[in-house]
Amino acid sequence: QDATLNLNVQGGWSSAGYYKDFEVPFWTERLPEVSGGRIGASITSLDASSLKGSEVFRLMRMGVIDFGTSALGYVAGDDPVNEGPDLAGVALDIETERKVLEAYRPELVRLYTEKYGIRPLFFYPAEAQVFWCNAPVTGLADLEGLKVRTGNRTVADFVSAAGATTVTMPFGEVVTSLQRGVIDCAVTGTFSGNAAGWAETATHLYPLVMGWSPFMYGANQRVWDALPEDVRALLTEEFDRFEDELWVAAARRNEEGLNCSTGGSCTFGKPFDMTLVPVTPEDDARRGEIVREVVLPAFRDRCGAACFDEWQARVGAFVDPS
Amino acid sequence: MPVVAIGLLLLLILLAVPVGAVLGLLGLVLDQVFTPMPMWRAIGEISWGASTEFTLMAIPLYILLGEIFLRSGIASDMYEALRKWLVWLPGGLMHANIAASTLFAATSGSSVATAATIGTVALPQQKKYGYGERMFLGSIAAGGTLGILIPPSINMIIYGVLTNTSIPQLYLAALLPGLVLATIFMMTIIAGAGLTRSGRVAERFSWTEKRAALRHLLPPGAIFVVIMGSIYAGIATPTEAAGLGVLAALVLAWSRRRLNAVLLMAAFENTMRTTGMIMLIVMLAYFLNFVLTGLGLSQVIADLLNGADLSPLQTILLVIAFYLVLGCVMETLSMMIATLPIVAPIVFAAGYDPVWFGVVMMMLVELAMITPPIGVNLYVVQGVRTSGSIRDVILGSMPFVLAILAMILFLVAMPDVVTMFAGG
Amino acid sequence: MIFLRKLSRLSVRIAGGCVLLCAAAIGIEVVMRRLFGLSLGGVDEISSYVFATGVAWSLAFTLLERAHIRIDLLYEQMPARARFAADLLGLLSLLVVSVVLLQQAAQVACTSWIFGTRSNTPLGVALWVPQLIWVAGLLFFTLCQLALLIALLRLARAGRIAHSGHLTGIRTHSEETEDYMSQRNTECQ
Ligand code: NA
Ligand code: NA
Repeated sequence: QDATLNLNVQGGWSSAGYYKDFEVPFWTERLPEVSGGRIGASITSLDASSLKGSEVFRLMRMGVIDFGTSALGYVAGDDPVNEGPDLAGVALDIETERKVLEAYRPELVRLYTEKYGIRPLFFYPAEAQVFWCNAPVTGLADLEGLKVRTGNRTVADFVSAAGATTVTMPFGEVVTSLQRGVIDCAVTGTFSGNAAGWAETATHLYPLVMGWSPFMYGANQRVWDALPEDVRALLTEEFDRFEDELWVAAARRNEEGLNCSTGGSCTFGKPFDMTLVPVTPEDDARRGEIVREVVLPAFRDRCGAACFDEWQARVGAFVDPS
Repeated sequence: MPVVAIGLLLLLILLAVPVGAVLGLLGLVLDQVFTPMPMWRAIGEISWGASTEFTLMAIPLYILLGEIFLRSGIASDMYEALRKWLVWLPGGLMHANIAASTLFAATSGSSVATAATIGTVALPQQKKYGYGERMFLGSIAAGGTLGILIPPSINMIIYGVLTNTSIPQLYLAALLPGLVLATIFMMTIIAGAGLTRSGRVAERFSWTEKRAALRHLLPPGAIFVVIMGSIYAGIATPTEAAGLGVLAALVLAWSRRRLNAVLLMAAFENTMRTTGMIMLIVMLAYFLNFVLTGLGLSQVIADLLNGADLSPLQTILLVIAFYLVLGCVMETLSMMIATLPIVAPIVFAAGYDPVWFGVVMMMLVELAMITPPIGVNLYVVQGVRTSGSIRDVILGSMPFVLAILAMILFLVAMPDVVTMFAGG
Repeated sequence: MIFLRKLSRLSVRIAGGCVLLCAAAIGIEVVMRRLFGLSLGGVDEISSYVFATGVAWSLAFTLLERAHIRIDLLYEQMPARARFAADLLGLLSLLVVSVVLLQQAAQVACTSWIFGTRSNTPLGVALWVPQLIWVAGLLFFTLCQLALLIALLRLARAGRIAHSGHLTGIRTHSEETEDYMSQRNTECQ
């Protein structure tokens, strides 16, 4: 390549994420184009690098990865602040989630700048994390006594508060475990569940939102600082645009995942005929209770009082769980 | 760069540097020479990630299960029973090798364990009855490879982890091809015995003896039922099923009054020795793959295949040829881990079913295990022998190499044979 | 050297025992989940730590038993001097890789300690604990390599190159057979 600057990018999952449709074109086509060939990039997916996702920001901190993306939830164990924009049952629609991320952004920026030496570039969600059940679920109360596969601690808090047994297992094991009844339900994104064929096995889709699995694109601070100023300005501008694109795409994918899986109109997902279980006002009230009584206190325990007050001040103000 | 990489790989391997060290060193050298990025610093995170993969816990569990089988005498009783039933066929005892491998494979996740176990109980017989040595050795080496095709299978679990494919579906899909391949192996033996007019033993057993021997097939049958039954009854995940298999094997050994501290300690030692051997390679193969991908080698290969504008059939034939060649010179676990993240997406994009390709991949790995110069089962069988050149094992395995190849091409021509069972 | 061998044997026995305990825990988990819909919680997670640490602590035993896979195609044909050189090269290569691995593994545990990292599961294990045991296993592996290297160089100085086989050589076929024969003996005990 003739590009004077070649950026090394660790992209997301190639299987169900934005990798092929958004990340690869952005880094390898649009950036060279808008920079007149000055910026080029090589990008690989998490699967191809056989990474788990949880090590991306640590590797970025060490300078092994220059630019890269990963879910905040994967590193929630490194610092509970990562759970802040993704608490179970808090942000029920994508507009709210975007506001949450905007409001909480300074906390995340502080965390990544200070703790990791990473410059956060932008944040974007996967899709709504919902329940895929192979059991005749009619509402939140029916989760009681069921075995539910969860992917992180805050969802596990919520699900056990609802009376279910939480089970952890690899993503690839979920479909057959649902089929055989090893588990009754599993929580994952509306579109990624559809893409992974969960709808083929699961019969009931219960769209109570357990989070949005937000991702962050970041750069190693030293690598970023070493870039010429005009390049940084150009990149920042492009990242803003890319971020907007990804939020629009997320909203579309979210609807598509829901509609396709439950017999609705379907353009790029896989059509299936699951039962869409309505979230009743009673369920919503119960959700508020669980969030107030279990999810938030558990987050406070992990995160500490100061961290929780910060969360309350920034996010709690406009997401009233009651 | 690919030339440097493959050249260095081959040189170090031929100089008898431990395979794990070769993979690690190759990763470190490529990183130093071809990029300013400190990719070597990822080796810690990647090794921790690889070794905490719960799914890989199945490796020590299956090895432990096999150890208990061998040490409690279940394996040799099973072999003896099969000998009584099959010795009359042209090729005689060699059929017992294949049948015993098949049965043992249904309880073991590893081809090395299968070949070593069956080799240990079968080889003394070859001396006793004076069979044509080469094909006898080949039948153990090839029969052993069934260990990873017939479920349960460690390699299938790794394939499932790497490609996000359902492991129970893989198991279900591989069962019939596994039995078919065992049958093809037996036909190969019959043909070989016919050509050389050898391998017939004038040994007959009465029906009473045969029927009495059947009970020795019950223990492996019971373990198979525990492992597969618990998966398909929805009681356990594949890794959990391996744990249940170990518990069941313990109960069997105890009921035979063979369970004691000596047996357990020896089983622990061999289990962890083999697990250490495998996992050093797995960790460093993950690391090497990370470096190769980071250097863009994967992208080069992917672009090459995508740019060639091949038909799906041409793509899969190219992939098969690729693994046939690579399998000759690479250890199988590292081969899978280092190449599948690149190759599998290409195959899937060409429209092939992940479960189907999983079964084909297992057969390609089986092939790699018995093709020279680097074929782990060749070495295992040679290892169990007391004398003679490895050339005997290599030549004896050749007919079976052709048999596996034929089976692979059959699956390419008739993909439904695999997929029709995978659905359930 | 004798001490290292004893320690390595002890460590694989403990590791193997832990693997068996994991199998038992898995069994209890499966039964409880089936019968009572309960989960012990985190059996898979604990097992994965047992696996990682058990493997790290087994690498040394595998080394001292000369069981790490090496390809003996050319090695078989080599004269004693060349074999010695190949053993030395193999050991040095392994040592380079192990030292880098050890150093970066220590980095992993250290980062977890500084960050206060906990696993993102209901169990919330402080990760530096299993990681430290893991690093210790890798350290033991590296130390055993150093001990082997010293022993090998001593042999060379004493001019007894031909005797290096039992330290670092590839297991010969008759040795393997003895191994299997001894297995059969334990069968009969
Ligand atoms: Na098997
Ligand atoms: Na080979």
